[in-house]
Amino acid sequence: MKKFNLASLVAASGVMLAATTASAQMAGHNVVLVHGLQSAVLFEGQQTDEQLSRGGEAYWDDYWLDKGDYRLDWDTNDRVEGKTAERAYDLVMQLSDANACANGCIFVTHSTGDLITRYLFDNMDTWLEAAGKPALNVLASIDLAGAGGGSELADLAVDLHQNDSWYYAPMKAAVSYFAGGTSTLPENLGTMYDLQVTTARNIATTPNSIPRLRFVGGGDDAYKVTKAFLSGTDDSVVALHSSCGAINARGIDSCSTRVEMNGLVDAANGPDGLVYNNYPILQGQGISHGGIVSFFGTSNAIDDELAYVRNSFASNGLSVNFDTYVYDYKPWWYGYWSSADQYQYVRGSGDKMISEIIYDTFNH
Amino acid sequence: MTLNKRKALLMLSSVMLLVLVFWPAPEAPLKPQVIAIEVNNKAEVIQDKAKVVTKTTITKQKSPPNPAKEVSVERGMQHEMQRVADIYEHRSQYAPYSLLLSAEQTDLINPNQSHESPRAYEVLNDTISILIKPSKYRFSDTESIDVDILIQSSEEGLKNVTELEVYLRSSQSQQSWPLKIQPAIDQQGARSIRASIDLSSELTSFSEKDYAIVISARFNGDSPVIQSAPIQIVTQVARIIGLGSTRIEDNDLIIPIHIETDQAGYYQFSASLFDLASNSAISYLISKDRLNSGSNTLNARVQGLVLRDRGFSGPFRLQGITLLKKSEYPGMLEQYGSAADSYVIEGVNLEDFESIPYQDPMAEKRLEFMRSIGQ
Repeated sequence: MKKFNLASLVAASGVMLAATTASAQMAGHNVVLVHGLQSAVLFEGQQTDEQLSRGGEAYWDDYWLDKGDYRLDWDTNDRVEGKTAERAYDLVMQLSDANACANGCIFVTHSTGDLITRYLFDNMDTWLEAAGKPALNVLASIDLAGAGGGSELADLAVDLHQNDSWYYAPMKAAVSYFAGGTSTLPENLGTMYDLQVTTARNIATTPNSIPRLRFVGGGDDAYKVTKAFLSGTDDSVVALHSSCGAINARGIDSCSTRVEMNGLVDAANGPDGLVYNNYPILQGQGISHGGIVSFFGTSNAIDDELAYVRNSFASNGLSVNFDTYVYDYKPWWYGYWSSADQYQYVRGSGDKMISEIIYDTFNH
Repeated sequence: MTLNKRKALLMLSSVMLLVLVFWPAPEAPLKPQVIAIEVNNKAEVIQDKAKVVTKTTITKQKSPPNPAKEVSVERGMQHEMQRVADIYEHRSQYAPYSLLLSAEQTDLINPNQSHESPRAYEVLNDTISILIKPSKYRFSDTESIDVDILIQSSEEGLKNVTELEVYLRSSQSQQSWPLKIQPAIDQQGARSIRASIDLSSELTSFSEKDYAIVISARFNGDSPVIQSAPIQIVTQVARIIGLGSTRIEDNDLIIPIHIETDQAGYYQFSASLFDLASNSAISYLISKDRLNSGSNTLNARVQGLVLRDRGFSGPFRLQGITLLKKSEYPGMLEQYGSAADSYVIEGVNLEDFESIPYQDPMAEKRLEFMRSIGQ
């Protein structure tokens, strides 16, 4: 893969698009990285292209940076339908001009990158058709801790932003973590407006054929200060209803109604349904929002078991049964007459981080 | 200590020991030990040593899996990708313009929803939760906005809410308009309030899209708590004025949609098709085309396979309609059109259709990709 000169590319087109290393790609397909919300830049004001590029590199630096062939580096100061749409448009045109998806390309998103990518997918065919260019062959999107269904922390941030008195300390603490660790909120909340639960769930809602493969967690990065404000189980920033791709914002505790987060096969508080072509693949109760893409976080997810979600036709509006694998576990203290619990889970692989496992599996 | 007392103590100790040993499992999270399975990338091996479960049947082995070995994350993920590929393959036989629709897909059946959750506040020794529920998310600038507000606490707790204002606020200019509040209904610690504003008469100058319904509540006269629910107010740039006569073309049922537009551009129509008599969901229709300014016809298509698989011959009802003018380039924002709540469509003879799956080369590539991970 050709290595672009990022600076000249930015200067030439203003597009945050970069081929990072000669060894990028996943299973022979170009990879496009779309990062999540970077709340710290809300205090710095509008970012230059160079600042965005540096921020994008830093965001993915722990693992994915050299796996990505292209990146969409967007500014948290902007609204999705505003300047971020322009950046997404430029990326789509560049991918088309470079024939980068001729062999099929794969998007990898984290957090709000899920929402940005959904907007891009929803509009790219119209953009390309209007520009007289061929459509892109996108094979799939790997969505890590996706925030496509919004975050209640954004709702809270918008409301506290409107209220100088900051009435309650717990809310301040939660939003403080979300806003980058400061005790005040920035003047402009930018993409946080789009990340409000209702707003996010009304952006780019048309179903399409691109499978969204979702990886989610229920861990903690923020000493649990945010958990009280997120519906159901969450990963410190995003509730499962959002990261699993649930059709509504009801608080849930698993991506499946039949498997709990720890793999216990049981009636679980899962989603009422999944957004079309959204498929949760793995869930781990110890995976935190940051830990899913980096070594950041108070918990390293891979210390814990990960449950595979057991997608079913039933949960996707169809009705066909599949076999799956489960394992009985009956500790001695259950006693003679208690039946064993059933688990379906997979074990961590030594010191690998979750992103590493995902990449290795897809790239084999 | 007497002998009887010693016997009693001994019996009590025995009972306590038995209780400890056989006490039912705690609900606390159990850390399962590394369990059961030799992998070797072969499903057959896994099935030999593990228990195989279908949705309704569990085939148990008499003894626990032995020796204990583990399924790797990679293997589990591969296994799951196979399952996802199977689901994707099944879905791909339906055309992207006529998706198979089930009653569970409420996000498609009821688009334009508000997704607000209640938020709790600790006030003295009571918890007060407030839920703001606008009737929908996106409103036309000529209609009325209705909002339900539910405040829940104990009956005593509700007395802490000493002041409540409801208003519409623009997100950018911060301009606000008060909503008319109907008398509250208190019932067993729950207070229901209905508020509304008629945009056509009360919102005289508006040029923005993003607004919020805001509640300012004071608890015992303290500084107000602000809670909001985002909404949008849009100007309609097109109107569906009716449907034409249906016809069959290339194994699809064609439904002509007559549209008046104010501007030329790419327009997308989407709606849910229901069986009128049984109220059963059949298909989610999506069609998009470039329309001129003025009178146009956009054809929605129902795939014959969907009708045959669902087994409904109609009459049908189109509902949950969205007419969207798409963004063609940056700076061109999405805009919306209006439609009636529903339209009735005459029935068909299912024998006029064949069960032909949709062919999409790109779906084949995606399947190949997913299957390659699952191997």
